[in-house]
Amino acid sequence: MSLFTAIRVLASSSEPCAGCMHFTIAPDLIERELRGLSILSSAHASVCADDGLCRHHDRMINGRQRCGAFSPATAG
Amino acid sequence: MTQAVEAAQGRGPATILRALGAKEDIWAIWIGLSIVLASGVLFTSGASLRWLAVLPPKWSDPSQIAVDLAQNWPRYGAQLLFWLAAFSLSVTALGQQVRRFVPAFALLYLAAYGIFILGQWEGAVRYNLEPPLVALFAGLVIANSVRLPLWLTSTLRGELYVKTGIVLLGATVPFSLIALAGPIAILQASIISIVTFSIIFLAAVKFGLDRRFAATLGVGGAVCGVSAAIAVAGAVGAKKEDTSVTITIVIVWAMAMIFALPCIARALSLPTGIAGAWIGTSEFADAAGIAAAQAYGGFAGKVAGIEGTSDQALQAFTLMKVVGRDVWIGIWAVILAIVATTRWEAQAPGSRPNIGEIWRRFPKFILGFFLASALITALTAHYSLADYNRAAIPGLIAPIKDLRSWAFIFCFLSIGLTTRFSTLAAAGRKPFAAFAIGVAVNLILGFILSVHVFGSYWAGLGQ
Repeated sequence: MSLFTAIRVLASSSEPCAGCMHFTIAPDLIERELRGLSILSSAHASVCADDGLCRHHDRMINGRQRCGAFSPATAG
Repeated sequence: MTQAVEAAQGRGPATILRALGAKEDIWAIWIGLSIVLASGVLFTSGASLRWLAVLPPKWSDPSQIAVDLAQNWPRYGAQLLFWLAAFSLSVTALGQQVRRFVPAFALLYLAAYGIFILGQWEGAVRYNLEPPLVALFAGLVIANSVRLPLWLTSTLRGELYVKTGIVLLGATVPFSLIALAGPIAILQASIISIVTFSIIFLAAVKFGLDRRFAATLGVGGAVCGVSAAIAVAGAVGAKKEDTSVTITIVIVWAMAMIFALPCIARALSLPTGIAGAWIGTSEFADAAGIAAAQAYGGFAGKVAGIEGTSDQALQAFTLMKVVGRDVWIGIWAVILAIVATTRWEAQAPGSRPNIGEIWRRFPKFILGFFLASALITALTAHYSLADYNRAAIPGLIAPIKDLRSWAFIFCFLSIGLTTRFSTLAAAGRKPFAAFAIGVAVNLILGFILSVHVFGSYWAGLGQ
């Protein structure tokens, strides 16, 4: 991976996942889903930034790049 | 349901409080620095925070405890109210119900008082009853024997308590010591982090695990345990189940190390500064490491053959773990996110690298640690060593230190009481084995660096 590639990736923009019905950033819910998280850390910690849980892909994501499964929360 | 939770978080006093900080780190800074500032203001005006910072006395006869309680119950009551007010504001801002929190915290305070009573007993060291280990062990036994009611678990915010304690810890570490020791700590931490991450990552990939899972496991062992794992999981888009498995593995190893590292260090009669540095290098989470370092520091002056002071163990640990390792979480997250996006197959949807994450993921409570250190250092800069020892330590620093001890005990109890092994995700053999290989290398390399390479430096820390 060249430095140019890294800069290109960092500089490019994309639509975020915010507003998608599958994406949640609610800390209490994340702590319930990720068992044991609140024992030695927390979903309220700064290190989590704006991460959330995508329940469509079942992944932890930073929500910076929406995918084809994006569904507006109001649609549901 | 998610929308309901988010909507609930967006109305009432919680909205106003959230404007002061929507993350635990910020509230730890508010609480910690408020205590430090209050102590500083009182000290400069000829008073002291000592009245509030009450601790049970050393005792050999139970009647001494009864006498202390009869004399000082207003101070304990005031302290309970102070902690209740501070943490209630925090948890309200974080979206929890204060109605549940208040009675639960009162119980936690009573349990912490009981732990202090045990720790202050003159026979405590003889029976290895170090308060951090007792708090953890008692919590573990209770949590794995009975199911705690939900209203009680709302108060078990170990991360909030430990971060508050670390900000207060900053007040007891001279800023000059951070400036002098920081580069060594960062060098040692960088070596251990890169080696440990590489070992775990390569082993996990060799065992056939997904690269995103391997990266999450790797930072869990190399940087900052569960916090680093959750940060990198979000940055690279790791599967939820893989993240849960990593959390389980880190917790199991961290718990084992809390008890193992002080025992091994004691058997080797390591000086407290060296043991603190080794614990900071080889423990996986701040709270777990502080429990181990504080327990080992408790041996100073009580166990024959262990040189150094109790402060050295905590200071060396904090410099290694908090200053040396934790500050890199954001950088690891961004680098791995770039690698994941550009090099790894099957790009995960939802995640994309962003340079701003270095700051957004920065563990901000560390800034509180630095600020507390700078404030106290500035306040005492004109003191001679004799005046510092005679006036500043008992009147200014000791009360902060005692309130810090309370915050840490709340944390250790919380960790023990929330750790129900049966509810954790089942970890497969392959991820467990990959992590275990990293742990073995980390332990040996951490020992060599702490004892042989930088040993003379850590042994004389702050002297």
